[in-house]
Amino acid sequence: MTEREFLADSVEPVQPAGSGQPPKPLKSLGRRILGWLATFIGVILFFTFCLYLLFVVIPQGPEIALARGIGKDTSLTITKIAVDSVKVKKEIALLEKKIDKLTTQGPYLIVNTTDNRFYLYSGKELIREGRCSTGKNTRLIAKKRNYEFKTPRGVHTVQSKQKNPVWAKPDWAFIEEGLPIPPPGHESRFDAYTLGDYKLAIGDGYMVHGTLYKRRMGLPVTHGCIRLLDEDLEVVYNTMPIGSKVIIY
Amino acid sequence: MKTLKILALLLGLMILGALSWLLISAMKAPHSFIEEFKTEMAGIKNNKVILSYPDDLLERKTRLDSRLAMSDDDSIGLRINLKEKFLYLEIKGIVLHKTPILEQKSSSFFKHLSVAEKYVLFHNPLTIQKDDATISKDQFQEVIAPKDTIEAAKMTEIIPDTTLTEPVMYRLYLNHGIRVQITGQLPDSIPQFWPRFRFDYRDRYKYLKELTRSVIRNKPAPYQPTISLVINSRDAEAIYRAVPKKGNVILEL
Repeated sequence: MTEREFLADSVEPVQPAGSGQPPKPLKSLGRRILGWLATFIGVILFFTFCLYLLFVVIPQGPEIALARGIGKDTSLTITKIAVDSVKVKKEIALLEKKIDKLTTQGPYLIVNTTDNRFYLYSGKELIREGRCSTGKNTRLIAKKRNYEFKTPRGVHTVQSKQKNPVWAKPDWAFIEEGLPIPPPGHESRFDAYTLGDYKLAIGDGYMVHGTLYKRRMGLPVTHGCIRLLDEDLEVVYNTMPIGSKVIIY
Repeated sequence: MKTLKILALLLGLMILGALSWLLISAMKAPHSFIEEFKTEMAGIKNNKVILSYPDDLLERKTRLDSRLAMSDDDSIGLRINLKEKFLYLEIKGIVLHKTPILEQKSSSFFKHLSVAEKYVLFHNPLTIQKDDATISKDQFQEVIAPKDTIEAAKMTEIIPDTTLTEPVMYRLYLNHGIRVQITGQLPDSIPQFWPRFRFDYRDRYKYLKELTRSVIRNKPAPYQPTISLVINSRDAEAIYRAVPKKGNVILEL
């Protein structure tokens, strides 16, 4: 091999400028950042759209379908038969009478424990309404047992009525004050002032009575009984005979 | 880089495809619900005489029948009258509480019902199957009994805060797959966006979960015709606490 031949083999041929493909131009840093930003925004937009579809459009799907008339045919295809409309009207009137009769004719008391308000009715007529106090919804945790102070919801009946009532304090009244519990019948158990001038017992130890703590009227502060102001209590006592209903909700 | 782009595109298309499938299934849901409803009601269809009553009388009969049926129950029931725009708490036919409906929105399903279908669905009160609420039915605060009079004297009596602070929202799930959503309207000064958002999101998430499950198992997608009501917040609270867990609800459309 001559020197010329050796050199021709070992040295790569240099492509002359202008022949073949031109070299790719390098992307500038700014354009690259813009590209990434566009991709990022695109991805964010795509996922936002997906979330919108998932949480807004899809849950509304059934409503969209109904609005567009899909599944609109709900009819039971009832072929009507001839009916005597006079007879039907009579039947409806009878039902209306039945509904009317449902309202108690005598007096009854409605107590709203959320708003601490009472409504005294006689039949459909509202006789008196005003503030009251109901159960404070607390649980007293004592050594031997727990006590729940809550006004029981539902329909109750006035079981007994009493003027100038004396309160026979239950155990929790002593526990709450940190006092030792006296034996049953002990004189410290009897209190002639706390219940006010009247009491109406509605069962299970619950009562409608007066109060010494008039400033707290309208607040849920009692141990389950319903406290009324003196004037309201007097009207309730005089209006409601034994056996009338006290409805608490 | 090119492969990555193709993969991302494919993934995107797959996600869109899955979402479209879910949307189509959701849109099909009312149809299967109505078909099911028709089958369920087929037996009652035999009562041709009542269903043949003139529409106005049948509408009245529906209301009266349901009220009478609810009065047989010893517990407090809820009556929703969308025509008069009032909500009533009733027991034994006695109206205990009445509150106006401030805003109402109901699923299109109800708008498509004929008077006869309304009779079939609503002549008996619906029963609450379960509920979901931002407030509790019975809230108890626990107090430890004092050891002696000194400790009792130190204890400050709890004066309950009766001002409105928390948003009241609840859903009552009734039979026939119907549900009622009640929202208490609060003054604008009380922050309520996030609690409402959370409550709403929870419902949508639950729906999507059920929808996906039904699509995977090739079962009809869930559909729950809903009645959404906005009432005074205090009233909303009183109603929720008054109606028992499995209480009765009358719908008067």
